[in-house]
Amino acid sequence: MRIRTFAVALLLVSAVPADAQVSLVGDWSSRVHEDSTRNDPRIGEFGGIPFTPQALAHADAWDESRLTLLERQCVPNGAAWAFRGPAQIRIWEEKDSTTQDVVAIKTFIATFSQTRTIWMDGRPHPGELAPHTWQGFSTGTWRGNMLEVKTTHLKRFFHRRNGLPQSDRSIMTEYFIRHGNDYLTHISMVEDPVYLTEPLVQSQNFVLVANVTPATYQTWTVCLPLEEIVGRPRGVVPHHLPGTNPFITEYSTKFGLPQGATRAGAEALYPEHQIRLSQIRAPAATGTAPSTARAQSQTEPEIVQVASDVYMIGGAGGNVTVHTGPQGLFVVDAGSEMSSANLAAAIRGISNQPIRYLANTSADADHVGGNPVVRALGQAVRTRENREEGASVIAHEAVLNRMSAPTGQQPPTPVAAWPTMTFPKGQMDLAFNGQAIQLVRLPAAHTDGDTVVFFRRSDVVATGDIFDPTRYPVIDLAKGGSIDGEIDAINWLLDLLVPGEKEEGGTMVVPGHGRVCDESEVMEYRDMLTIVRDRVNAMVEKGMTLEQVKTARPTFEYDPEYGASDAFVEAVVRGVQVRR
Amino acid sequence: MSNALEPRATCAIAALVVLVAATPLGAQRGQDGGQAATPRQAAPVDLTGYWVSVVSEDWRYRMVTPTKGDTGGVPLNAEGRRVAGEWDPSRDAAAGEACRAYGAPGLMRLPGRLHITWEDDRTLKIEADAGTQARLLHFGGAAPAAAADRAWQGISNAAWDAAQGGAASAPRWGSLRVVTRQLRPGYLRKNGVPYSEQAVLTEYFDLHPGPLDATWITITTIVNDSKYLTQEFITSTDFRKESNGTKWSPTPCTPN
Repeated sequence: MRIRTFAVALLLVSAVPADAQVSLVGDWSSRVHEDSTRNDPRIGEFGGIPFTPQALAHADAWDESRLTLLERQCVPNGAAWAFRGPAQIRIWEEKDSTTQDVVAIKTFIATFSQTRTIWMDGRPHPGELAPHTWQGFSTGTWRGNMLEVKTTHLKRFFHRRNGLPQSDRSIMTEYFIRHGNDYLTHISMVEDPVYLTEPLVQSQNFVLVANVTPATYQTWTVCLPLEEIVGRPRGVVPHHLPGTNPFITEYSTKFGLPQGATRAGAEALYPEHQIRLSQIRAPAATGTAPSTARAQSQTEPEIVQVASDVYMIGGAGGNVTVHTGPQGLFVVDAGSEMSSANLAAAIRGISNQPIRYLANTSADADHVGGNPVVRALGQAVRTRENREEGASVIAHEAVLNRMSAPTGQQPPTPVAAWPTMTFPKGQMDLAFNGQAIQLVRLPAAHTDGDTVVFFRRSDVVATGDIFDPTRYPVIDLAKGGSIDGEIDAINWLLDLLVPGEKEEGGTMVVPGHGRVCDESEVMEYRDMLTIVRDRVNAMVEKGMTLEQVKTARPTFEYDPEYGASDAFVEAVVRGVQVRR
Repeated sequence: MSNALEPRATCAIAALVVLVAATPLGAQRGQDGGQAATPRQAAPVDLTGYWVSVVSEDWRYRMVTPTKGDTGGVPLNAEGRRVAGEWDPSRDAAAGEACRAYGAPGLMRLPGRLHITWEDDRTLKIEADAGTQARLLHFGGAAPAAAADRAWQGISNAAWDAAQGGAASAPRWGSLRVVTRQLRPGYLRKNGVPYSEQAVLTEYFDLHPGPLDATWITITTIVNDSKYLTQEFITSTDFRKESNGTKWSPTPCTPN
C-alpha cells in the first residue's frame, strides 16, 4: 500500500505542469535605469516611439497645462503605460476557495493606487460596446516560465506623457518573466491602429523587495481636483495652434540633436537611422490618414449592463437605454425603423415588464425610427387624463416640431412615431421606479431639441447624439445646431459627471452611438471639439475661406479616431462665422 | 512479506521524487528521448538567427552619443561620475581602445544586429555587427581565464533555465542565463559611463512571440560593479527576428 502511495506521489510530482511552478507573488520595486525621464519627458522628446503623423501633430499641439483641467488632474496611468512609471508593485493571486485554482493574478501599483486584474480562469473578453477602463480587461496564460497577458478595453492615454497619444483601440500583449528569485522582467507590446505605425515594444525591470510598509503604497490614495489656474474662463482647453508651439525644439537643442531627429517615428527605431540622423526631416503633416473610425452598422443588437437596473442596447441604430424596475421600463430612444424588430427582441431579453415611458433625445431617424414598435411594447401609466395605448413617448417639443408638420402638410415621420408627451422648457423631472429621472434639454448643440436623460440613483446619463465617440458630432445647422452650443452641452455634461473611485467608472454615459463611456471619454471629446473650434476660429480670423480651412485640415490628428471631417469642419466654420 | 517499505527503499524513492522534480525538462529527455542531451539539444528555445535591435528605449543614449557627463539612469557612485566626466574619445582612439563601448555590458544596447549560431554543441556564439564583436557563451562551465586574458566580451558561462514538466510534445519554454566575468574595463554607454574590471554581468535571454507573427528576444542585463555603481544596473533590450542576414552590416568600433 505504501509503495503505491509513493508511486502515486512520484507520478504526481513528475506530472506537475509548468504552470504551477512559477509565482510572481511579492512586492516589486522598479529600476528606472533606462528611459529615466519616462515619468516626466520633455516636450519634443519623441524618439523611440513608432508614431503616426497624426500622433505627432497631437503632440505638437500638446500644452502641459492641459493637465490642470479639473477632469485631467486625477487621471491615473493607463495599463499600457503604468508599468513604465517609477513603480512600487504588489502582485498576489486570488484562488478559488474550493479548488485552489488561481482565478486571477492581481497587481497594485502605488502610483494612483491602481489595482489591475489578470483573469486566469479562461473567461472571454467583453464585447465591443463594453466600457473601457484605465486598466483594461486582461486575461493571462502561462507559457512555461512566462505569464502572457492580453489586454483590451483600454482607455485613451499616452504612449509618452508629452502628448504622444495612445488610442482606446490599443491592445496590449505582455510577458512577465521571473528571473531567479529577485528579478522580474516585464515586456509590453502595444498595438495601436490609430497612433502607431508598428507595435511599441518596451521592457522594464523590477527587483523583489521585502518588509514593505503600507506607507510605501500610500502615495496617491486620494486625489481631489482643485482649481489650479485661478480665473481661467470655463471651457478653455490649453493647446498650441499648429506651428506655434515655442517649446517643441528645446529638447533637440538642449541635447545637441539634429532638429527633427526625434520626429521620424518608426524609422528612427532601427540601426540604419544612426547614419541618417543628419538628414532627418520631420514627416509631413499632410497626407490622408486611413480612416479607422468605428463601423456604425451592426446586424445583431448587443446588450451591455451599465448599472444594476440600466442596460444599453447597441447595434439597432442609435444606442438605446433601458431602465428596469417594479413599475416597468423606461426606455431612451428607439433605434432605427429597420432594426426595430431586433430591438424589441433585445428589450424583451432584458425584461418582460411593460414599457411605461419612451424618451427621445432628438428627432433623428436612428433614434426615433423604432418609436412605433417600441411604443407598442408598452403601456403608459394610466391616469384620468392619459388613456393612451402603448407607452408614453416623451420629448422636448422641438422634437415633436421636427417630426410633425402643420395640418394639411406631409409630416416627415408617421404619426405613430410622434412623441405623445412633450415638455416646452429646459427640463422635465419624473419619479419612476424609486428614482429621479431628469430630462434636460441642451439647446443648439447637435440640433435644437437635444435632450439628455439622467437616471440619478443609477448614476447613468443617456446623451443622445450630443456625445458620439464614434465620429465627429453631426451639427445640424438647419435644425438649430451649433459648435458653440455643442461645446457648451459637453461642458455641461462634464459638470454632471463624477468619476468613481480611482477614476474608474462613476457616472456612466450611454452615448448616441458606440460603447458605454464615463467622464474620460467625454473629456477627450470636449478637448477635441474645443481645439478644433479654436483652430478654425484662428483660420477664419486670418481670412481663410471654407475651402482653405478644409485644406489646412484642422482635425488632422483626430481623423483616425472620428473619421470623415468635412461636414463637421464646415459646420464649425459656419458657426464661427456666425459668431463673428 | 510485509508491504511496508524498508527505510533504504523509502529514501531511494524520496530521492527519486526530488530528482525528477528538480531535473530540467531538457535534461529529462534528449531529442531522441533517450540519452542525456547536449546543451544544444536541450535548448528549450531556438535563439539562432539574425536579430535587429528595436531602439524604443533610451533612444537619446543609444541612437546618438550623449554629451560627456550625461549619465541619466545609471546608478553611478561618485567615482563613477568622476570617471564619466573624464571621458575623452580621442584618448581612447589613440590608446587603441575604441571598442570600450562595445564590451559585453554595453554591446547589447548598441543599435545593431545580432547573429546567433551554435559554435558547437556546447557553445552559443553571438556576433554583433556593431563593432564587429563576437561573444561565446559556454555551457557546462568554461575554464576560468587569467587576469591577463580579460577581454571586451569576457568569459561567459551559460545555462538553460528551462520550464519543468509538461508533456513531451508540449511547447518548450525557458530562459538562457549567462554570467560573464573577466571583463576588460569599458563603457556602459558610448559617452564614457564606466564599468570596471570588477564588473560581473548577468543576462537572461527570453524568446517570446510578438504581434504580426514576429519573434522577439528580450535580453535582461544586470551589471554588478561595486567600483562604479551604487546598485546593480538593470536594463532590458528587445530584438526582433529577421528572416535573413541581408541587412547584416559589420562596422568597426568607433570611440564616439
